[in-house]
Amino acid sequence: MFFQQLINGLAAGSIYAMVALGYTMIYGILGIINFAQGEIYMAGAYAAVMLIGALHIGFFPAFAVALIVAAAVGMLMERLAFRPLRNLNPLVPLIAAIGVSICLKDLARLLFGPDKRPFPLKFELEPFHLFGSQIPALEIYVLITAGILMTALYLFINKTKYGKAIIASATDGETARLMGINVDTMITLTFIIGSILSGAAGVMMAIEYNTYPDMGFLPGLKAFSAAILGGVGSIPGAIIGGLIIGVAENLGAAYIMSGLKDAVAFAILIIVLIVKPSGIMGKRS
Amino acid sequence: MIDLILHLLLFASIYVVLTLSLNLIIGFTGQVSLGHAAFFGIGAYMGSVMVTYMDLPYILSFFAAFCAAGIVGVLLGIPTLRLKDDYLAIVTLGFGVIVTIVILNIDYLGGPDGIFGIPSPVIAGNKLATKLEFFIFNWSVMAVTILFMYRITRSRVGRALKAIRDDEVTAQVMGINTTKYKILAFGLGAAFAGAAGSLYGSYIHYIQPHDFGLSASILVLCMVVIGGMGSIPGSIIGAFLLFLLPEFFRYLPTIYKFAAEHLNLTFVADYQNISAIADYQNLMYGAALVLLLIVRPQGLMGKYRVK
Repeated sequence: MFFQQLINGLAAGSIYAMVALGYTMIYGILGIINFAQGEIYMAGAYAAVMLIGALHIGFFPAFAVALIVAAAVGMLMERLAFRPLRNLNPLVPLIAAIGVSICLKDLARLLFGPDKRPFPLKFELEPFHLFGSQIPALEIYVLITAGILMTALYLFINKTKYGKAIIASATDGETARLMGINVDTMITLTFIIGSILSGAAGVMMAIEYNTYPDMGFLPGLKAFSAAILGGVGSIPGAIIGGLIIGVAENLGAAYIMSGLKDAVAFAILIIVLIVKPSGIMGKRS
Repeated sequence: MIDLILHLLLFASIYVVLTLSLNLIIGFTGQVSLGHAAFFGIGAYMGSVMVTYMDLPYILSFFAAFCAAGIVGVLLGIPTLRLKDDYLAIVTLGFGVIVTIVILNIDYLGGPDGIFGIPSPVIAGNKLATKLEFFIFNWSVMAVTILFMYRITRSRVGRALKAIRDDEVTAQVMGINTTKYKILAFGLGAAFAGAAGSLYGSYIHYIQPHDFGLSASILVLCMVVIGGMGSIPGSIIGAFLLFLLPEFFRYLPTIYKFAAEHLNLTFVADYQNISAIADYQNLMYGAALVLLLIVRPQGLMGKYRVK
């Protein structure tokens, strides 16, 4: 029972972590909270569901196209809403992000209707047996996929020229510009990477749960908490924060009270921030 | 039609009180709060429980709502106000979510069903019955709030708050007890939100936890930012505008019908088209929000001071 809850929590946590990476990277480079990150997650989920359901495309091509759709949504969002609002009080882009989020949700409702859509494919997978408890195979696959994507991100950021340019732009935009880095391109690239991760998280969530216009709200909020919990701007922090929130809320729901599931994430967050205001992996400022 | 207009105007006045209370925290003191609707909710529940379940006089419940929300604001402010910008934002956001979930799980407060049958306020022996009486009462409260905000922001306290907003370290060097003033602003803002909650509950006679969730907090925040942070007329305009805009889209078919039937006006667009426009209201609302910020990032009435 405990082990099963732990795996549930890790699977949910890795979804939060992937969305949290989007938050944390965008925060790192622009210093703004992109409240519409949950809607990119929703866009990815819808793209996969519609491609498979209406156009009968196979799962893997649909998954790939969904990532492209998510990246395009993120890029457009940056161009239209965030680029004109650089260097302002952070509350201004925050409200703009809320406006974008309202637009995208309503667009999804107008295009696809307000109903919840189940995933059009059914996966018949044998559950794994580990330490005497049954683990749904899907959760294991979610964990593996998330692991692969996050490792890819880690390698990209730390080993490639573009990754280093992103870090340089996040550390000091002006100096990076003087060194010949095109900071605007790096910001767009950051939005694209963050959106791909969020879109992938959305597709994986859509397999197990329903797809509907508001689906990004709560995961988006929790991912945001995860990013702050781990120390905003820190990539390992976002992953650790996501996993902690996923595990804590599943254990909290199982052992304390299921109605309080969503409160657990925020209670942990407040306590951690009061004790260590810069987050778990955050640097002291 | 008159009743509808009165209803919209008196409802908007509740949002004006709420927006001004948040503007005191965000616009004048520079502290971010994303959970302001929680104080609104605490006030609404406090007031409603006292008049509905305990049969206490309305005036008493109104002040209890004011005080309860204020006390919770101070208690939340003491540990959290040393956090900066985004951290404070997320802690207040989390607080808002927790308050909603806790209320959902308390049976005495009706859980998800909320409290219904909240009696109308009795002011000096008269029970408010018509929309006009409610209108006068709510607008008086709004007027008192506006006056209070003008007085406090132009007093010694207000100058201290603005000093903290503009540069906290300098303010401290100048001898301002920044912690004390930040907590004071947070508590006062919360208290006025609580009073707005009491007005809300007693006017619509029914409250439920979801009225006070994150979407309400965000709506109020939008009202502050669109109106202009640190501007009192801005908050009033922001609250009216953002409250009336969706209502306008909602009642567009009604207004159209009324105009066509009573005023003998003919429009190019027919009734079907008008109804179709109403379907796009959220899309337009979101787009309008983004556009407005791109054109005027300091808000409608704000001075160009955004860092």
